Amino acid sequence: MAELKTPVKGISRRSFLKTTAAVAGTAAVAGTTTVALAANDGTADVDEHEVVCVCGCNCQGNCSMVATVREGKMVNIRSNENLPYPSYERICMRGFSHANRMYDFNRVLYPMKRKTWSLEEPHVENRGTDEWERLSWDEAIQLVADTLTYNTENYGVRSNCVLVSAGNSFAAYGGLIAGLGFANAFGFQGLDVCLDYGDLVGIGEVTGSGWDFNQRNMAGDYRYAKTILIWDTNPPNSQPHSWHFCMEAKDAGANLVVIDPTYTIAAQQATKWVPIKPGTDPALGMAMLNAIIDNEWYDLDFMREKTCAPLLVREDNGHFLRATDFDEAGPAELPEYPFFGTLLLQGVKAGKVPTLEETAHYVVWDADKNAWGLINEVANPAMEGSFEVNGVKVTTAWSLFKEHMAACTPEWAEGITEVPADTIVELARMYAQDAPSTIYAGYHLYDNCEEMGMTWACLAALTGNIGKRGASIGHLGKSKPTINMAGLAFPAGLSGLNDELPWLHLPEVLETGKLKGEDFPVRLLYNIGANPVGSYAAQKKTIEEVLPQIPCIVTNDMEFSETCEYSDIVLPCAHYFEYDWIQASSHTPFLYMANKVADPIGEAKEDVEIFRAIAERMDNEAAKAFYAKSNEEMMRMVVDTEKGEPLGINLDNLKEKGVLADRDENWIHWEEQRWPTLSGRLEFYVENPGARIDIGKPIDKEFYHMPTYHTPFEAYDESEQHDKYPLYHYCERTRWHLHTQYNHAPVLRELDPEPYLRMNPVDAEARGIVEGDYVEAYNDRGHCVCKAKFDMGVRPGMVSSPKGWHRGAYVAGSYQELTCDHLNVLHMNTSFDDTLVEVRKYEGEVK
Amino acid sequence: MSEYMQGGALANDDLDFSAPRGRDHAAERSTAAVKSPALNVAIGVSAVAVLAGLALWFMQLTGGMVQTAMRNLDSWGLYITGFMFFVGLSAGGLIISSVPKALGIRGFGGISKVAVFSSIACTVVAIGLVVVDMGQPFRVWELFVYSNLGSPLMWDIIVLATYLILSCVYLWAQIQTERGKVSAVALRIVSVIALVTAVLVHSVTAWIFGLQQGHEMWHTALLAPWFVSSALVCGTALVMAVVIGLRRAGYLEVEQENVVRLAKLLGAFVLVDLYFFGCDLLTEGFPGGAGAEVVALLTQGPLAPYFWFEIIGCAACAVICLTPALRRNGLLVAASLLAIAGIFCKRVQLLVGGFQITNLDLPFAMNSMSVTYADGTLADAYANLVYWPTPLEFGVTLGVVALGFLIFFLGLKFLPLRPTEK
Amino acid sequence: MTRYGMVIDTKKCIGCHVCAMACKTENNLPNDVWWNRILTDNGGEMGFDMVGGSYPDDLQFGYVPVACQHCENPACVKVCPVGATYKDPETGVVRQDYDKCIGCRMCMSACPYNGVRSFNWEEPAFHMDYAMGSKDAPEHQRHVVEKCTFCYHRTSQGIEPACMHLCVGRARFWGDLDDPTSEVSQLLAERSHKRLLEERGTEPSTYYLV
Repeated sequence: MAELKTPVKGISRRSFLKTTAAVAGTAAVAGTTTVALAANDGTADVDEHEVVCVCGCNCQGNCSMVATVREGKMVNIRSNENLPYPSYERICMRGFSHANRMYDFNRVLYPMKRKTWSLEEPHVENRGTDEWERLSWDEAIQLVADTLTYNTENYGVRSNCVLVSAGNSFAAYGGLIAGLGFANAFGFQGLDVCLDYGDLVGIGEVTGSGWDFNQRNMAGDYRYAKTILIWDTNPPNSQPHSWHFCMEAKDAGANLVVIDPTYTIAAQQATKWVPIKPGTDPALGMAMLNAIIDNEWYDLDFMREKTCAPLLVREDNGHFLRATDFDEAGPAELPEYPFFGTLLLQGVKAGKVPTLEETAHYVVWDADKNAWGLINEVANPAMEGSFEVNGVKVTTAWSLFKEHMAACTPEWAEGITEVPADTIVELARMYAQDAPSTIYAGYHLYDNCEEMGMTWACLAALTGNIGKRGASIGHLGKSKPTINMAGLAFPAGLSGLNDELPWLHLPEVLETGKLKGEDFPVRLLYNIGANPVGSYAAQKKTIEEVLPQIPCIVTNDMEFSETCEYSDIVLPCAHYFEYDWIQASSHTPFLYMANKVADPIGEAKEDVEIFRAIAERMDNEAAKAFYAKSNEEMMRMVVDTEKGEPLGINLDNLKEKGVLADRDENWIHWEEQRWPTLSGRLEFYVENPGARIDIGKPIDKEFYHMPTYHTPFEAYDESEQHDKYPLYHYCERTRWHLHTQYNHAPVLRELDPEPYLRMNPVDAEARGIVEGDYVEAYNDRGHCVCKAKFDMGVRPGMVSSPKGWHRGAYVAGSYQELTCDHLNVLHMNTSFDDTLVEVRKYEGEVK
Repeated sequence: MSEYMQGGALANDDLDFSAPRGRDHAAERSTAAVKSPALNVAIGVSAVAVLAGLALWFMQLTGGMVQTAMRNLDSWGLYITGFMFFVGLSAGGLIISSVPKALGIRGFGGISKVAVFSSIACTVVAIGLVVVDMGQPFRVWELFVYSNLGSPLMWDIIVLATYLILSCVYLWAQIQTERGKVSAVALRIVSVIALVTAVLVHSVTAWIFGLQQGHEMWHTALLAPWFVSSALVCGTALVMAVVIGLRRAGYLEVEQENVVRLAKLLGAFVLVDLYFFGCDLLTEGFPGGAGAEVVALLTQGPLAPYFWFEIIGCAACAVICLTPALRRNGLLVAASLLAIAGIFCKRVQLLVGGFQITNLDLPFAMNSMSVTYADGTLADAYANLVYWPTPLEFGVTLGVVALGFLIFFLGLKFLPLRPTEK
Repeated sequence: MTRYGMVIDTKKCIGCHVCAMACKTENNLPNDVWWNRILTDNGGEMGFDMVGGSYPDDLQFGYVPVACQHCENPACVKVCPVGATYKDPETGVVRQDYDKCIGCRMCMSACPYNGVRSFNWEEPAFHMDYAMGSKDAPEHQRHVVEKCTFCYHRTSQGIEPACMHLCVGRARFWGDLDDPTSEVSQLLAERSHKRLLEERGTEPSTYYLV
């Protein structure tokens, strides 16, 4: 019997319930407890119990849920009402479909091998059409281990490339961490997914947080904002759980502004919607900066104390002037922002905020004494002006910034964004004056994304809307300071770690056989929770040009994804309700024990078990030692830490309580108002901008010191492609998919049965298309055929495809064939929406 | 009415007080089975159609009503259309036969029993169509155990059953009267009750629809009288067509004068029916709003073909019936059929029209259970007729109608339905 | 007296379909059966989930979750010839007895809220080969009419209906309309609201805050 606790605290909508009766049904559950429900039909002896589990689909929801299990099968699920902070109670309709997903016809049940594949003769030309052959786990593991060993011996260990993504959860134990650990344990080459990092680079250059996702305050804090700019996102669809916090702010009188070309449900519920020409958002942000400067709406005190504004920029090398510059050695060589070519290490860097002593060598101009001085010693540094210090010509960063932004007038931006200049000025005023203000950012999936991120950060830096109650920018993210994921992610330590290879750069590496000038054969691609065929841009190129150059493709997946279809060996991994794991990411202020709900179906195994079996058959003692640890020992490595101990965070406690809070409900990021930049200040002037990952390609450093507008790669009116392909195509996040997950859950397909192209009737009529016609969207990269749906909320000149659909759901092609795979050498992010297409009525046959 | 009254005396040709002996003779004659090869063929064909219908109904019950085109948003279809129609059709015979007796006026020349029998056949069809429409026909008994007497459907079931029984009693009484076993007064009492029941049947059937505020198309006080008038139109038309047909087949003899009187009556009924329609359209359309939607739907929308067919057909019928020069047999049969088809169109308008206007014009994630045409948007589903029957529904309906024909033909063959000789 | 009712804030509903899924799962609804549907308020010209009006100044969009309105004066109850649909005197909930239903669909025609009732046009089929949801939820039958029961099997035990367990948009409220201190009563006292097709006189127990 479950221990019966009082139902739920603090949720008034349930308070009317008669407490006597409520006990049976809402019995609080933690871990796995059996609840014998009172039943009057003689079914009381049916084995039914409840399990606290966690959704691992990485939508950033981290939903803690309670699954009901009857006779070994999951029969129901609900949001866990027993959380340390009830405002984070959450579930979504995808969460309800997990039983569907677990017992999905598309589940991979057994290890399989493509019939004509062998290490000696891979027959890559048969991928996608070959027959599949069932293997025993023994055979499959041996085959993978042999291939990895063969490649290691003949081509070097890094010829084995591992692509890890969060398809099977971003977990503290399990999922993505298991994959990263596997790559690191053996020293395989990690691939960088090039997804959603664009804005992060820009923000990180100002805040010093690299390309860590973790920038915004905890979602509960949005309630305290007086202005929220919902920028480039539609949270009710993509992050429905955070929306109520925004609406609470609105109820309290905040400006809730949505900046989006499309009229979304967020736009409908906002106090203001700003329709904007697609891809031009950085220009809007820059003009807001201009208006803030022009109207003196900035926070001079904040800038003086917390930003690089008074720092002096050397005219000769563009770096801040440091007292150490005058040492014998001269100016020190600066590290480039960001610092590491691996996502997980961004958080490590982001956690390193320099002390005042560590930044004491920065030089400012003492306005009172009219002489230079050290930053910690000068009470009144000059904010503006050019000076000469020991013969070095310098100008304050603030002066440079003002001068730089002077051209970005609202009128200039109106011409680019089609947002009226008055509206831009009003947005700037709201953001600066109706403070505190929060920028709730989505991913600006255009080539100018780094400018977008940088602009957001600069807006915050000028107005002080950061590191405060109700004020933050950017995205929520990954890191959890109280736990230690490094032990699992980097079992072999950081010494052997090299930069990841960006997926977008892979075609060139395959083509030339070289990376950074050195020979670099790619012999094997191991996909772990990753679906590059389905999820990555320019699908046709991936299938026809990229994959055929790799002789062996191994994929761990629970569903038979498009990538499985083009793989040589497919290993069935368990659904995240089929094993115990730990969820922890900073989207929510919690750590979670994700308990196993039901046994894996078929022969599916959790990733760690698969890697353990591979390690046993490989000749790597360190890896063997790592995988000799039991799952529980691995979990303890993560959770039982010194930092966590004072907060009561350890595995035993976690198992008992199910969910533990590790942060304040309304946690403020950077509340101490110091940032992990070199100066500890927000650096809206970037001294030494660098590429996100070093692939040996230079960037124009001059260009990236301060926000400077540049067009998207392809999706702008004056682009070469625009004449042929005049429609802007973007991928919308619908509530029916999460990337390529949930594609086959039949209950979701009842509501969302097939892919479509959403378009404004204006564009359809011009092409002789009527609602429900099958249409073909196409460009030089590929095409897709699906139904057209009319939507007045789509900006004329734009069309959109719901993101995530499986190739097979289209009559022909796939939306993912259309998307742009341009490699930007600074941010190396996939600009999915930076895509132009033309659309015509499809005359072919539709089955 | 004066032309039907002859010096205040009862003048019913079926009521012959002066020749009991002749009546006996006639009774003997009319009990004799009719031997006609054509009739046997008709009986055979009907029986086969009934069997086919039964087989299809079995299919519907085992394979599911998903095989019909009915769906959640258009939850009734051809069966209930047919039900409405056949209830109406059943009226004519009984009313034509009972009005003169009940009111003591001159009748239509020996056709009374055939007319009543046609009513019985139509009532059976109507009831049959309700049964095939039911999802759980084997729970019919519940109607009697758990009766909710507040439900118009319950009223209708009671009234229809009464009506069927009364029609049989009435027919039996007529035959027995002819045989002298039932008094004329008793027959007259039965005929009055039958007449009241007939009017009730149509009113109650109308109330199944008319009392529902859920559908703009149905919710009108006019519906009950209008159902009566429509019933009179198609009932009279049916009787006229059947009589002319049977006369031509040599089954019975009817003086042309009686046919002409039927025609005049039909013409009058058609005009009343059209008048009601006019009233209704004006009342709906005049204030604008949802009512105007109904008018637009009928006159220009997907139901327009049915509307205009009814209007033009009924008008043509009235012209033929009321223009002496046009009262030729062929044209009169055509007029009858036009009226019958017109009233059928009316039933289609009512039924489909009831569903064609949705109260919640808000799209949702439709699926194959939502509405007949669920492929496009909600607006697409309503762009044309929201409902169109499947072949199975046509088949089952045909089977049920064939049952009516079978009963009618069997009646012709085995029952003394011919007019008695004078 | 208790009269259970629902209050839905249309200004907060984001159309996420969690309430629809909760209903579907809890009641083990057959394939293609949805007792709780999320209607798109877009003027009716465009499809589900699509925006109506004209870009950019006159756009129409929003969501209205609609299930059985549990009317005080239910049209369906009056017309059912066998009393298979009936009002629970204790709670005001309009219930449905599958074992009694003769499948005449009188109630479907009578209900002005098109589509809240659903008829099992075929043998109930399920994606899963075992029963989902509550074991107390009544079993589905072919050729009978069914609909939302306010999760009678839960409410009779004092638990809120499945759709009320958590509304992601915090737009759904549930309680006793006859109790002036209940959250629903207080919301109705504070906020302007409407009911669907008020003019039909059915007196729904589902209120929409506008």
